[in-house]
Amino acid sequence: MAGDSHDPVRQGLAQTLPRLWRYALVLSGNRDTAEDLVQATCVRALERSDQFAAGTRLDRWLLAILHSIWLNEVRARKVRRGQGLVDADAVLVFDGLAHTETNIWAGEVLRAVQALPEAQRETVFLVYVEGMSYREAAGLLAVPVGTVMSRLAAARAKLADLGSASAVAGAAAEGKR
Amino acid sequence: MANPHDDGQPSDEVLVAYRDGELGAEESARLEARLAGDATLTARLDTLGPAPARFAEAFEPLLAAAPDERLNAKLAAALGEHATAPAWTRRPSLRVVAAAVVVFAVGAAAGYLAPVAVRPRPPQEAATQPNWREAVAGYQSLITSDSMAVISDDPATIGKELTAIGGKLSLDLSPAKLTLPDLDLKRVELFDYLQRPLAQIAYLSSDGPIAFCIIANGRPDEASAFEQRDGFNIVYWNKGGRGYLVIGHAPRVRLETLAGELAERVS
Repeated sequence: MAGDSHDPVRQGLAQTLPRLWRYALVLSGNRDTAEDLVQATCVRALERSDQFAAGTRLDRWLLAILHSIWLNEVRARKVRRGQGLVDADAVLVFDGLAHTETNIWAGEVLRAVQALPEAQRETVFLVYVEGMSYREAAGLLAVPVGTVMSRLAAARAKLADLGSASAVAGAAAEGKR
Repeated sequence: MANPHDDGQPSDEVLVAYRDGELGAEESARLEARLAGDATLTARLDTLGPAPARFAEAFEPLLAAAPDERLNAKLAAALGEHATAPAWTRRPSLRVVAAAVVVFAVGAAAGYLAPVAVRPRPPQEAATQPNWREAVAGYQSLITSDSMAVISDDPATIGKELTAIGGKLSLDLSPAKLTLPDLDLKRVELFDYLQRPLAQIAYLSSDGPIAFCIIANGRPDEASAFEQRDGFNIVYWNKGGRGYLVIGHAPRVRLETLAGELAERVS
């Protein structure tokens, strides 16, 4: 299907899978749900590939689709079934990932972010990990920019004891934390 | 936005935005001027927690931890599923339906139902039929029990609308036919889907919103089938040149029972 509009989507999907999975993991706190979310995103993205405007950011488009599926389908189903959204194992999800000396701090960041309330956690992830601007994140989350700002400020207040940039840089250099 | 500083100090949001490079040039310059002479303010900047780069770093190992093989397999499965649909099939998005809803709502508010053109479709275009269910599922995901609670379900209005909508579909639709035990008939609407009239009869149930939809699609009779789309359960069939479906989050068994009843009452 040369020249078919879904080719950039198809190629882009393959390259973006790990980032989609990571976002799905942060949203759901559950590895199985994360994989299901990624698959659902692939299906939806292919179905809607004619809506993707070539030349625009495919990764943003895919993350937005994933977010929409999470919010409208997966999350809604969990609430309806009375399965609280806070997965008891969520924090443990990251335990295998940051065990070396130099990565202990990274593990603390992961745990601290995962412990944030959902709205703050999502916003922190999109802006600080995925590098979205406030406006891009606001667009994806369908909230005003002001809401992005207050969520980030509130999250930072909770994460304040992770130390400032300079303190961390110093500690990392000494390999101590 | 909370600003605990009544002394004219910038809020936390402003400081965070400044640190993140999201403050405009003018505001940044103003803030920097203040920072120069204000030790407290500078100290506050330092308590804002890790720099964005530190977050990105901490989350980097997760990319390597992704289950690549399984994810690629899931992508392959999605591609396989997608490939079975004809390449030329246009899949209208929710926007098409939504635009039609707006048009219809305006028409209804003006006191008349906008006429819907019904054109016979040539047989080869019938392959687009599965998409009407996708469009319905997309619209249905906008509806919750809360959003339905605010609708006024005046029986007289519903009765009038049903008569008019029935006319468009050449069907005898009346509240009596569509009233079922343990379901609240809340609203009826007429959409235009690719120039075919699509009626949606919206109920509220103990399992949340359930919709019964009818579209004049001119397709041959088909026995009832079940599918899931966008997280919904759907029971659908074709009879007398019209497509029918019952959609909701209710268990499959309940929807199948409902579908059976409605199929008998409406024909």
